[in-house]
Amino acid sequence: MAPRATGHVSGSLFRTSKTDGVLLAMKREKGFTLAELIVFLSLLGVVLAIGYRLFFLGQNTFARVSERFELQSEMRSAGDFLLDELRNAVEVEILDAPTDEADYHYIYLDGSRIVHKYNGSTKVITLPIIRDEDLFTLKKDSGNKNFLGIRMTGIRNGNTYDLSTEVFLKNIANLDPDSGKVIKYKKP
Amino acid sequence: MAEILVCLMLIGLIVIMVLPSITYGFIQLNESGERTKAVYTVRQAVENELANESPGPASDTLRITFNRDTIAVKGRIVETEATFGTKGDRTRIRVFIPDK
Repeated sequence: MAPRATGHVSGSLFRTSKTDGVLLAMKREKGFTLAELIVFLSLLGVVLAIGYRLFFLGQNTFARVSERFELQSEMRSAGDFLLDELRNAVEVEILDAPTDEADYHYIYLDGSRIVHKYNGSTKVITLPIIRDEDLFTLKKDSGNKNFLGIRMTGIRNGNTYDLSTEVFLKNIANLDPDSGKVIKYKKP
Repeated sequence: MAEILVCLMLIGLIVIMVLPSITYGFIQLNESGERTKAVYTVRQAVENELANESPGPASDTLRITFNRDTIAVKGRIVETEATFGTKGDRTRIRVFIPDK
């Protein structure tokens, strides 16, 4: 009795060649192992985390720079305004509170703003950033000449910036030293 | 392993390169603020010089020309400077003070 080998052999051969073909095809296929994938994902996580931190660091820095810029530029423009106004004054007096005398200018600290008042109308010079302290100091030198010291400290969202200078009051002499938050003056 | 090390090194390099660009603006603004303070200090020195009753001799002449006419003003050039910041930067003001 002849063994029924043909069918088995042919069937086995057929199945073997197909399986091998698939395996070979799988082996040839390009791809990643699980370990590679995990490493990739962890590196991606690191990159994203760093990117996220850098983005917010940049944003915070930008916000802080903007605030500081605003503070500094406010202080500088206020300083220039005060120097220009007071340099040529022909009368100067430091007061406790502003009054309403006609033809006199007043510069004073209103809350935390510097305000200029003249003939009933007021103009705000700075944002509410100025520390509540004496802004003006009247000085007298040995030759009885008067200088006006100006000192401002600005505070905004944790940033502090102080500016101080002195102006020679060329049309005024012999005033006694004084200091305060309100200055009354007359222009020529 | 080598690839991971290279990758981490590149990330580190990028971070090192990006960080200064973020803080640069802040540093520059801070320096500008210090410069403003120094300018005000120098201006104060100039004010003192303006008030000076007995200045040195008038050694300089400023010539101003209006059309064809030239006016010569005798006086002196005053130069004051102040240093600011951590790097010792300087700001200087040069003014002409005419004879009184």
